[in-house]
Amino acid sequence: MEEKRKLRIQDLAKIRDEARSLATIREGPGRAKVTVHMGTCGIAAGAREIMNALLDEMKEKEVRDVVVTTSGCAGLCNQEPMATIELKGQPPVKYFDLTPEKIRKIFVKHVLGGQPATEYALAVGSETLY
Amino acid sequence: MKQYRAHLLICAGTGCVSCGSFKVKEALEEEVRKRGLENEVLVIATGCNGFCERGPILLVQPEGVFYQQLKVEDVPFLVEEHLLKGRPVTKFMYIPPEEKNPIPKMKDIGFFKHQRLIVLRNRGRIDPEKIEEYIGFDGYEAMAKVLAEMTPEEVISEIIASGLRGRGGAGFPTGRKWEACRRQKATPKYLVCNGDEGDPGAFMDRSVLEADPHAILEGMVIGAKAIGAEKGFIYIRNEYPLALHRVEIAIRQARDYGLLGENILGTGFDFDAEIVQGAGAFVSGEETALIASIEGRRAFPRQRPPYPAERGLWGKPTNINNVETWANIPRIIHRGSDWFAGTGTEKSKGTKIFSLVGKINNTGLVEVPMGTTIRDIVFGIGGGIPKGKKFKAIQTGGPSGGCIPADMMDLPIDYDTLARAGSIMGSGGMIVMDEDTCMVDVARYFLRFTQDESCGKCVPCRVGTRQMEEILTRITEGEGEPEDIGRLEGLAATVHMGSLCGLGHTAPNPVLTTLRHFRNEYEAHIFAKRCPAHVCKKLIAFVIEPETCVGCLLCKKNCPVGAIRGEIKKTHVIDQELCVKCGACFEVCPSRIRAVARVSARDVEKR
Repeated sequence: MEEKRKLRIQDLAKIRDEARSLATIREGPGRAKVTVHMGTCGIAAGAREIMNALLDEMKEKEVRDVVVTTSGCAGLCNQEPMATIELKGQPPVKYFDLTPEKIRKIFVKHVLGGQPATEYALAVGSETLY
Repeated sequence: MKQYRAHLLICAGTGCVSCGSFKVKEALEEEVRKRGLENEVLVIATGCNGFCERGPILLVQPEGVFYQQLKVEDVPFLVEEHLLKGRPVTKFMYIPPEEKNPIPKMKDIGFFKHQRLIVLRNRGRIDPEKIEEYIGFDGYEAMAKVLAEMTPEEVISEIIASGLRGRGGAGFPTGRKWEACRRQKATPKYLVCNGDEGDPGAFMDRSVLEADPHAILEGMVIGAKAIGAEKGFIYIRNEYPLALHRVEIAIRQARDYGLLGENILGTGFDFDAEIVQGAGAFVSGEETALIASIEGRRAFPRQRPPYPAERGLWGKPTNINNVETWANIPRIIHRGSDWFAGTGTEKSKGTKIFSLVGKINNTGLVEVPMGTTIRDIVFGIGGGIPKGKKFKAIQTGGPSGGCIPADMMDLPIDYDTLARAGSIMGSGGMIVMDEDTCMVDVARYFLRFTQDESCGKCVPCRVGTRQMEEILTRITEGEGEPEDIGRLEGLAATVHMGSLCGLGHTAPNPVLTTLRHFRNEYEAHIFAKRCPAHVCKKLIAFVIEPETCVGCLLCKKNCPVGAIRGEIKKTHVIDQELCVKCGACFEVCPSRIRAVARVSARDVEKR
């Protein structure tokens, strides 16, 4: 193992903040949850790219306290790819016919800005998920 | 480290590893790769979650979904359903005994929700082999605070104020112990972490060493600053390969980062630690024997005083604390003594880890506040006794402890209440016994253990425990004499008084407590020649009830000595002369028939 630089007290906080932010996910749900619908229909319609765009956007914006998860087909296969965004304490909003560009805009407006991106929204409300 | 949308925390404590969790981890990683999820989902091996009964265990975060008893072949389905399609898989979830519905989330499971984690806070949450993860959850912050901002006196008064008492079993106030060692003028001073965990069925220390090794290192550096020590030894049994491995890694990483060694964190403080491997003798856990063992001599206890604080390793002042005690230290400094003292009872603060084993549904490792009742532990967390049997007693403190009967189950557990009940806290072993347990047999089991493990230095311990074991064996074989109870009590007093160390001192406890709470069972063995729990082989017999036997030949086929006669569809009979009382017939007789009965041997003679 190569010789590592010995830490000083102030370095400790740097390591902590970085490691902690990446591990906040282990402490349970964050302030928002984004669900990308990944049934066969969703995947066929390009849900994978939506997911990648979303994770990329989060990385760029250094957002750590948002949960990204997947779910099965929402029953509206012709509207896929779809995603549901749920801010803590607010009803979930479903977005449809997504593209990587759309999900990036929606993420900025709804998750970061707190305003549902009504122009891309399909409906408010959702079936119960875990 | 990258950002992922899901973390799969697979338990890699010894229990889960022996159930195949490393193979499950590999399978998870492979499947995640196959599904193209490697940039979204991270697989991490963590320390023991405590629910060893249900291993291998997997926790999926951020949802907190808990999967148990996973097999390699379950992995593809699990990954496809949960991670790709977002549907948690109910068939791998935990279903409490005698219930129908699975509990999806870890925090809702009875075993977990009644626990309070101080020492085990990082269990199942961090990868114990990565120092960055420990630092990520506030690791080494308490140490930095102590080295940069606190005087040794302030550290010691903080530990005294917290009320922390030694978790090795005796319960001596940790701060006072440190103070005594600090006052010594001789140098150098040493620290020892006692990980020589030897009670049958106990694995608290192993689990802490495996799950959070850096917490122990951090605790020791804090102790070193308070006491003025420059070198520490972590004594770990050879039977704990995983613990040894993880502590080795932890020491190496801490040295690389400058958290151990010279000029720690640039503060000018020096302290280093190394591992000493123990050969696994029970007596080595006694502090003076431990010192002898580290010095390379035979693990023989010596008389105290002088205490190790005065004359310890190589005659120098030495402070010895148990693994769990060390692991408490960073938390106390980080959160403050008031916070710590807010948990527990008046004289026992904080939490205690117990290993819950024996006749209990949820075998495993639990951490609860001091003052939790036996009932809460056995029924709330442990899920009660399997097969609907009755709870009879619980042995606390291992072979040095004693058994506490079921009618005392509302006893809040702390150092002092257990001592009043004739037992001890010990390091935290808890063996649950049901109605099918013979208390004389239990006492004999523990006596045999201490007799085997006695180092032989003190005659009362070496010979006395042997005599006691012989008397107990005689009683279980139906050869007990009316004077035997008095003999046992006399020997117990002699062994207790005439032994130098804690091993001999406490060896009679299992006999004394069973005599106190279950004297009637001793009397039944001695006078009526009966074993009420139908355990002691010489006093019982197996018989086949002619009214219920359907003549299925199952017991006949399974009898290892050919003691069962009978033809198909005709009542079978056990030849008592040939029967070795192995119980095979009892086990194989179908539960809807139950024709084989365990009875007192005397009743058979009468038939």
